[in-house]
Formats: sequence, structure tokens, C-alpha cells
Amino acid sequence: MNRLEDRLRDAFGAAAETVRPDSVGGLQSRPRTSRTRRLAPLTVAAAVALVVVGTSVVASLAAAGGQHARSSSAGAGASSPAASAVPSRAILVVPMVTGMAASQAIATLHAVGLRISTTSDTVSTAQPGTVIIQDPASGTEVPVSAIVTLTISSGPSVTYTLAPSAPSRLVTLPPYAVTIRILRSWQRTRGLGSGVGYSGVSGWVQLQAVTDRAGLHAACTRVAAENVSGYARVPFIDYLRIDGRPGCQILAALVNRRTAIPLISALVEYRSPLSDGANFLLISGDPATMTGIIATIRLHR
Amino acid sequence: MTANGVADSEGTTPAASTAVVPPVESAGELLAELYRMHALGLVRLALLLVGDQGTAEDVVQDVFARLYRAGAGLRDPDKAVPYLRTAVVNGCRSVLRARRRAHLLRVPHEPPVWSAEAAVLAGEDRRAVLAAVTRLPGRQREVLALRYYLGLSDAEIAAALQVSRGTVSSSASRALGALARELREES
Repeated sequence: MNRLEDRLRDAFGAAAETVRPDSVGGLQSRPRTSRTRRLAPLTVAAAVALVVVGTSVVASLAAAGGQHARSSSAGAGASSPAASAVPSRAILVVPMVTGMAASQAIATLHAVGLRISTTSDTVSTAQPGTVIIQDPASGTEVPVSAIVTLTISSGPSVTYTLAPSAPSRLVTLPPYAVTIRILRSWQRTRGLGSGVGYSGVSGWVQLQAVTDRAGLHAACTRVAAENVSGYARVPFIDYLRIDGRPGCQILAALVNRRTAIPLISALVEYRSPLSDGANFLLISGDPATMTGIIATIRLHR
Repeated sequence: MTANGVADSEGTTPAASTAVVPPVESAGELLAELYRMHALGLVRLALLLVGDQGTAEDVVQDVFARLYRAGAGLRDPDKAVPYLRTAVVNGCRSVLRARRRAHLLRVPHEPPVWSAEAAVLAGEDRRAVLAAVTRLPGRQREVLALRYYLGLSDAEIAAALQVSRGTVSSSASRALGALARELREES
């Protein structure tokens, strides 16, 4: 009987997978009358989440980013440089952007034809995401396309917590180039449920992941080491949640599709004052081996 | 930047468990969120019952469209998923009923995923298993899909199909018995 049940699971799984995640269209408020196939936005979150288990992270992601030409991501403040409209020999006066929100400052500088470089600093007195220092100062005359360096407050340090029942959503990643930085890999030997501590590199995020001990224990005892194709992204998360910071959201988790048990994995979108593209934080781990990575994924034009 | 190093969960877990789900602003937004989270799974479930993706998508879209029109009826997100499952299963039943009627009028529909013409599904054995499943009575098929595709417990299946648990387990064992007989004969 067990063999039959396995065959059923296999057949159902294979049939179900003929519905590709990217082929299911968006929610329509009216019932459909015809069965015309919709052009669906491509959800790349699945690809991202899947790829990360494997090793060819950068190559596949770059390919994914290149393929998908539609951009409807929540990439915050995607400011389009209007620099091309400005004559190339002109001299510009650097506008005052200190105190502005970073995205606004970036948009302002882009609009007059300046380029931007950013750095950050932990300052508890300034609002996170606001420009503390600009260099050159406002009023300075610079050539078009000069680089203005902005120092952006990253606010006081923030703790992220992973816990059960996260809201999640799918995103369409914009056709940006992708860089992935593996910030830290970890291997835990102290047992399940121990926290994963991470102290931010270059001031982007500080993350502290704490997993649900009981849930992880169950996952650990039941998740067998399967190859990558054994996992599918399911847009539903049981054991992970990110709280405590607006603009930060779990987008997808890796889940064992047979047992529906999530790995310690999350793809988190966060707004960063440091980038005008979309930013993702990837936390991926395997409870069986208690190994994993934390990586940032930045998408830029 | 403060260097935080590794923290143990002992102190922080209680805080995590008391965290609340961020409020969802409107029913429409809740619905959109539900759709984003569950549309794919529901379409796949519907596919297993009706056989082709176009119809499966229609069923799921219609379920959400009805919910949308119903407006503020859906307040408890915990109950939403079981409700959606039930609604999708019912939607699939209506489609199959309509198809039986249409069959009399010779209206063709897309070849189902388990047919030989459907090149999308690789593997003879899978096709044989699925074909055998489609020859089962409707409820048995639904029980199998909910149990072996979604991996639901018998109690959850009973809730989704709005039948008793006894009915679920008897349907399941009858279905498995029938499949075992049929598949052994074939192979």
C-alpha cells in the first residue's frame, strides 16, 4: 500500500507542477468569461529561493534577472535618472539634500544630473534613512555627472526576529543586475532553536534570527536530505516571521513540498536607504545539518 | 555598528511568540494577500480535479471573485484557507457537472493533463496512476488529491469536503483498494 501511496504522491506532484508558478495570473475582480491565457508577471522569488540551495547562486540569479523583463517589484523609490536630458558640459549647483529622506535625496540629485555614492552611519538621533552628510556641500558648483557622496543614517541598531506564521507575498523582480554577497555562513552545533546572530556588514542590516524550537525540531527530524528539486517554493511560511521593522517582509520560504515543512529559509525584502533598487536578504538554512547562509541580494540598474 | 555575535533563543522566543500579525487594511487587501499566497496551490489542486490548467485557473479566479464581491465577509484569516479549499473543490464539482452536460452536446474541452496527448506530464506510470484516479468516483478522487497532494490530515479533508471523518477514511481506503486492483492489472 505504501508503494501505491508514493506513486500517488509522485503523480499528483508531477501533474501539479505542470502549472508553473509564473503562469498563474493576478487576481481579477471580476469572474473570467473567456479562457484566454493571461500574460502573467513572472514571479522570480521562487527561482531565487530555489537557486540559493544550490551552489550556482550568482549565475542563475543573474540569468533570472536578465530574463524577466517586466518590473513591478516593490523596489522602493526606483528613481529613474534624468541625467541624459542635461547637456554634458554644464556646470551644476549641488542642491541641498541633507536632512531629506535618502530616496528623495537620490531622486533630487538624479533629477539635476548628478551621480550618487552612499555610505551609512549608525546615528540614533537622526531618523533612519535620512541624509546626515552630503559631500560636496550644497551650493558647490560641479560638472554634470559629478558624484555626490551621501552619508545616510541607519538609525539605531534593529533586531529582527523570526517566528511562526509570517505573512508573505510574491514579487516580481525588476530586470536589474544582481549582486549577491554572502555575508555570513553559519554552522550551529549548540542544538536547534539557538539563535543565529549576525552583525551587519557595512551597516545595512543587523539581523538576529531566532527560530521556533519545537517547529525546528520537528522539521529536523523529518526533513530528509533531498536534492534541490525536492523543494519547492510555497508562498506560505510556518515557522518564520520577520517583525519589528516597516518595509521588511518575508517574500518566500523554502518548503519541502512533500512534507510541507519549511526549512529555515526566508527571502526578505527590505527597504534600504543605500540603494534605489530592490534589496533582498536571504536567510537559508538546512535544519538537518544546521548550516546556512545569510546573503544580501541587491538589484541595481 | 554594534557587534552582536550569536544570541541564544532562550531570552527572545517569548517575545517572538507574542508578536502580532500586522493589520491588514481592507478586505480587498486581505484577499489580494490570500491570492498571492495561495493561488498557485489552489490552481494546482483544481488541476488535479478538473484536468486542465485553464479551467483550474477559472475555478480559482471565480472563487476569489465571489469572495471579493461578498466584501467584508472574510474576517478570520485562519479560516480563510480551509474555506478556499472547500470553495475550490465545490467549484471543480460544478465544472465536472457542467462538463457531463456539455459532453452530451459534444463540446470539446482541452485534453486533461493525464491524457496521452498532454505532453506536459512525463512518465507512463504517473499518467497511468492519474488516469486510474480519474476513473474513481468524485469524492474518492477529491480525498486522494487532498491527502496525497496537499498532505492534509483526515480531519482537514473532512472539513474541506464537509463530510464526516469516517466518510473520509472509508472513501480513501476504497479508493486505494480500487487503485491497487486497477494498477496491478495494468502493469
